[in-house]
Amino acid sequence: MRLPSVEREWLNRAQKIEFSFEGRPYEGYAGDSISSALWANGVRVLGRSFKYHRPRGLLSLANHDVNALFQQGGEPNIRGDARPLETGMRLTAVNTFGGGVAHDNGRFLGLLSRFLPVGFYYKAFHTKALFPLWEKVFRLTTGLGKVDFATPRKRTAKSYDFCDVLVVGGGPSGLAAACAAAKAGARVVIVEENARLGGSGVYQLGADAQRAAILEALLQQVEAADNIRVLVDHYAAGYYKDHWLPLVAHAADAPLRKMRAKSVIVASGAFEQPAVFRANDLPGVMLASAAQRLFYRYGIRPLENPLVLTANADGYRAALDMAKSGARVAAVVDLRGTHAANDLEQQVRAQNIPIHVAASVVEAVPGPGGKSVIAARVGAFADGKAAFGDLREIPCDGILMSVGWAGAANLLYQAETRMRYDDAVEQFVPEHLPEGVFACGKVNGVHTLAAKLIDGERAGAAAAVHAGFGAKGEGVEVPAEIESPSHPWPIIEHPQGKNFVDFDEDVQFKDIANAIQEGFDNIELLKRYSTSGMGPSQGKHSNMNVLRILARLTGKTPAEVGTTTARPMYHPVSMAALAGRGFSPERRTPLHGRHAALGAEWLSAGAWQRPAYYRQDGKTAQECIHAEAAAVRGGVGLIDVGTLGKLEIRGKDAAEFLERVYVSRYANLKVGMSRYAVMCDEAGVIIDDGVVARLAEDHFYFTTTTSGAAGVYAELSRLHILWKLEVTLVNHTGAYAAVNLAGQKSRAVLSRLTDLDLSGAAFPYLGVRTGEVAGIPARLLRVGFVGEWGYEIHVPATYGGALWDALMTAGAAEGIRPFGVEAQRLLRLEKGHIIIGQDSDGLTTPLDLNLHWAVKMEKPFFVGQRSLAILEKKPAKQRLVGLVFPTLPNDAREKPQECNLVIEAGEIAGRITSIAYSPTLQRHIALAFVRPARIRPGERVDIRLSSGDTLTAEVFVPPFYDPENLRQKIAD
Amino acid sequence: MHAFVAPVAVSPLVEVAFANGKPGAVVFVDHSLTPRYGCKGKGKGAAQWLQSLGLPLPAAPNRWLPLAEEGLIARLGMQEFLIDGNADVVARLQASPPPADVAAVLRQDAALELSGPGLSELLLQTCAVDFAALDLAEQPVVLTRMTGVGVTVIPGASSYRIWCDGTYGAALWESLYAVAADLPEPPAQSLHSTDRSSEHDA
Repeated sequence: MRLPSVEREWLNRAQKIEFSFEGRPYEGYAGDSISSALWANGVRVLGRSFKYHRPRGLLSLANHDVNALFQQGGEPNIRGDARPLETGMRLTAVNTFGGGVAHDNGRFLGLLSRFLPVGFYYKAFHTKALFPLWEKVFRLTTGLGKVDFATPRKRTAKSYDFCDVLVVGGGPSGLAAACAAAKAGARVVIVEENARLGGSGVYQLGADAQRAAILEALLQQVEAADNIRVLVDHYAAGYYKDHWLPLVAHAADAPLRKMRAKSVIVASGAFEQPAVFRANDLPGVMLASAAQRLFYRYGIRPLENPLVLTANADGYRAALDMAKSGARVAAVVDLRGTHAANDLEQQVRAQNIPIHVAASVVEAVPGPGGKSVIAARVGAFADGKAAFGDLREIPCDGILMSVGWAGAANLLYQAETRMRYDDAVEQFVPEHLPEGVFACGKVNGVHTLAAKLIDGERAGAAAAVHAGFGAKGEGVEVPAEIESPSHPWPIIEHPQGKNFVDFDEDVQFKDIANAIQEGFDNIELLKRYSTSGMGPSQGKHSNMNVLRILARLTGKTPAEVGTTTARPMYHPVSMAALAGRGFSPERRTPLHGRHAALGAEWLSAGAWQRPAYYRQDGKTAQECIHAEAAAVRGGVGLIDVGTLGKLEIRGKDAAEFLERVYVSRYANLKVGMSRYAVMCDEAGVIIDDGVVARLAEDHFYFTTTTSGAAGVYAELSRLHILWKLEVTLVNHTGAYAAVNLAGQKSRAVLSRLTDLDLSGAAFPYLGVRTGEVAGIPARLLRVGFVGEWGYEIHVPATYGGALWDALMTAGAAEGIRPFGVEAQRLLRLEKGHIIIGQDSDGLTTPLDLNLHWAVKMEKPFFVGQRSLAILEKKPAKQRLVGLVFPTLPNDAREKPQECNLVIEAGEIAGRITSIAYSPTLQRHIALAFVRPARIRPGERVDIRLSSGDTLTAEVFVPPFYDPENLRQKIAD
Repeated sequence: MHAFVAPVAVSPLVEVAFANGKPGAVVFVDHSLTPRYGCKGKGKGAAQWLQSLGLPLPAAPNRWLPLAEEGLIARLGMQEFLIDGNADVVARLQASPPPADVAAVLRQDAALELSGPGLSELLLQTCAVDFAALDLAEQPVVLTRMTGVGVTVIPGASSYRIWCDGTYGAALWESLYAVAADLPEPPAQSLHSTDRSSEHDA
């Protein structure tokens, strides 16, 4: 029940909040979590268990529980322990089959439990014939929550963040660590997953005002420190190399912070562990810390008449806190025969609370429908065994379990901390921490409040020193625990079962035992076979007990058994937070706006957007492309080639560098001329091509493919460092705009804009000149990729638009027309010119592409030369040839396509690399790889179409168009 | 002999800089058309050449110095330099052919200046560098990536100068602007610099 205001509670009682659960209206306060508000309203059954649909209440109130998952509208699996209550929430339980959480029809599955043994999934799928049946059954019965596929896309920000010292956990040791680091001058960030700082210091009080005062003093220190930043309601979802930690907020729209710290202090505390006894999952059986949180944070008396099952001092404190809340504590049942917390025992006895030592709860007695607890059956407990012969039934309305802890060491494991099992505290603790990672408090095996403060100060000072603040001090002695805070065997092997080890997956003691008996006696295998640790809590309250059972049943120690792998994320992270805002920068040439205005249909080429073609009203894409190609063939066209890589090399070894990089010769290239250039890798595979132009004896300007520019520049930079030649390399790809003015009338158009002598003699084919075009300083190359007289004109990027406009204006009388990539591909195909990456693949050599003429094997060296020398002596496997297809009727059912296979004797003998319908030749033409025996002109090869039909094509030696290459020498 | 009207240079950001007028907490200024010059070389060539022309040289890579009157020189590597914002100096460099071991680098960058109360948050959401940890007295130059685009950044007390390949300029501007638009008040402005005196205050 809700109490009058409790000191330091988290509620704002002035602000009431109305909500509903399973259709019934309730009221809570601002500051309540969903779970606390429901418990305060007397709701004891919050959900149904995953497998047997058993009624479940609160267990941890620490964001671990499968029991407290809710659905609201399209949002599934809301974690009620952590999500703040909001006005108007309409909540339902996530795992019911009709009848609501109170009368869930799925509860009958519990009656079938004997037919659902451990490893049931694996066993069910063992018979192949039944696979479809089981698939349907499992799809119907499993899964939590309902996903709404119409959920709108959210754009969640991601943010980098930085600090000197990151403290994960705002409990007593974390706060002490933060204060120590801040005192040394470090920029400190505390990340705390709860709504307020304090951790266990807020609620593990044992009704002791002095403990509360210690925490209050720490909080004041934190608040006073200018260099401490606090992120509450955030958790560190994982640890990544170099101290990167994603910090995730509970709030749905808050940004995911990618925190980079110089030092990280893990003060994440520990997960309280349940005891294993029959019916330990009834509503009303909960961890003692959950009950303390309900009381101190939310002003709730969790139970009226609880029984405390304990094995440490924390349990005695819980009993005192419950007494302070007004509860009539039925008894304290201590698993141990003796203990060291005598003062606490005396305080408990002073409250007239009976204490039973060397005893255990062996069974919780259920109330009607298994929805409550009415009593606990208690028996003697010694040497890890309970005596069932003489059980005492103690009436109570719930059982608080305080039998031990497991360090919240997930981040430490992810940071590759070497852990060891410490028998003194029955817990895994860090043995060797990675550089810059520190641990303190419970996760470090330090549980006593005074010791935690010392441990925190030690870690904080050390972390600050690592981050470059303060001087390394003397070693600090942290007092050892006077008794173990955890019991090594808080487990009752009840003959009637239902003693749950994993609450997420309804895994009982016998399931673990049976799995081990079936041979799954390795902790990782056991986890997967039994599914323990695979539910929403990810084993936070089950792994330790599973480990203890495995150790005992196999005669090993916990250290020998070891732990499972703790992978990120620490808690489930929403897809919206993970995806966040993405950046995929798109590269645009300086002519992008011109293309858009002309109706460009865009094509992605690497990071670039290029015009595939320009849309024309009433025309199909192919008609537009053919019209653009016709303009080039019949007059003059203009294409943006600014995406080509544009590199420059200068220095006395520039020619030597290019000789080594490309397969052809460049030392003998005359100034003012250019030459085709092919680049290979060490294996002789062709990786790029372009044109090398010589501007001066020691100065070359050369182009690469659009997609190859960045990679080629990176590789050349590497070779530059390796070879130590006297050259300077510059990447001018983005600095120059470039266009190709092509067609028989290109010279006439250009002549209106430049004083350069454009005659064939003064500016021959493959010539390169510098001059002005429309008053813009330019580099001009006479190249013929599309097979017509043409010029590539390169100008500084800021003048790209001016150049384009000048050319379009100057060519208006000739009907100049912009053409896109598709028309260019068609035109070059008619000439048989290859495109690297389309007509080649990751195994293609220049020899396969008939580029023998370009490969100068007589050079002393070039990259790939050795491999090509070897390959040259071997029989060729494939050759690129031209193919001409028979004229197909316009209504042909199917036309040949790129990547259609060449078939020979029923086997794959090659493939089409490029294909198009040539309006000039009025038939389909292609480039294709075929077997070397089939390269003679007139050979007929079979092409398997996508439908499986076969079409015969004829081998042809390109060019398909203008075989004498006369067109690129003819201009008006 | 042809005679042409002087061609107009256009900023790589011309199509995006005016297209965004959303509120935000960051002021964007396009400085792409300020005079700029770059060079790089092998050995000590570039440094010696610039020194011979009377330019101050930052002592180490990733540092910058102001030029006399206006503008700056940034050292991007041992032998790579960027001179920005001083028309006289740039004209002098362009008129002086570099020695054989030095190559002129055509700088056609998109150049931005960002300022405003949301700047820190904008940088945190778009770049992995901890700018707050830099000592501005050391006049640092940061070569990094921002929204996935390679950038050169000079952080200042009240504004940051950013340069990137002009062909990535629009993408960088749009991404930064989209993030800035989602930041809380006060409103942002979209400006093009017309007054060279406002080019930078780094």
